[in-house]
Amino acid sequence: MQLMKQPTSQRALQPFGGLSQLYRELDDFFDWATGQHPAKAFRAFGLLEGNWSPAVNIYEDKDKIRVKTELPGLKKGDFEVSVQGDTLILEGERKREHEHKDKNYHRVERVYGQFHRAIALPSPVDAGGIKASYKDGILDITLPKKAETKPRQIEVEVK
Amino acid sequence: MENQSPMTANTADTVFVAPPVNICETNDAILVEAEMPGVDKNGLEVSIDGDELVIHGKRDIKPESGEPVWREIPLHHYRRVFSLGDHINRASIHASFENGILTLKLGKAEDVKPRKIEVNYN
Repeated sequence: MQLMKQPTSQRALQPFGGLSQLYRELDDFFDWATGQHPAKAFRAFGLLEGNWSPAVNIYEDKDKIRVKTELPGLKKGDFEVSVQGDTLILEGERKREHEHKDKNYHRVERVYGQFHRAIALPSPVDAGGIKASYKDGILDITLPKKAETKPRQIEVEVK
Repeated sequence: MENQSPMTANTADTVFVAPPVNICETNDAILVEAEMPGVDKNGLEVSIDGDELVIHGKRDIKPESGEPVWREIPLHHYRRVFSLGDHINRASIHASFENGILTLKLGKAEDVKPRKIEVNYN
């Protein structure tokens, strides 16, 4: 009785041949994707998954919240900014330039694909007054605070 | 072309961060794209010193108004050094900068460009 078809190819005759081949291919891909730069390894996983998260700085003063995000190499229409309640949402996609398809890559450290970031704002904001600008690869968003959350001086009546 | 700098380098009391780059090759040039968000065109410097190509980007790192409540963006300027082989034509290096991406086009020397060999048939 023959349950399995006998292996015929050279690779199938080596019990771990296929596996080591797979590891080698993974290593090759990893070297290609990370440019052999170990610190970029985690970003390379982001590249594989097709999603990543841009770096942000948040500043707050008594009137407003300011969110700066590093998003180099984007064009208008590649990203969206929205506010839902007390959450600021940044999402979009960095697309690979199609013209580079036929080129021979030596090093790929830049990350592509969709990004999504939800930021819990430190205080409620006035959604109608939000302003955003994009310059030199930095998205700069200013969110005015809601009037009732601004610090208010309480007059103390001294008798 | 090999990268000479680690993730951060310490040069003359200043800490730099290495911008991520893509390097690809076409028939007649090597293209380098470096991500340097936060640098404007006045803060950008590309120079060739012997066999070294140095890219240097100064960020605007003046303190922002308000209190920083969350910080992920490094406060360092960018710097990365590449060594150029003999196959790069030093006279044919072009740079452009848009939306925080520096693109360098390094022309190849004539003798390393692919050449078509005419075959004579008798």
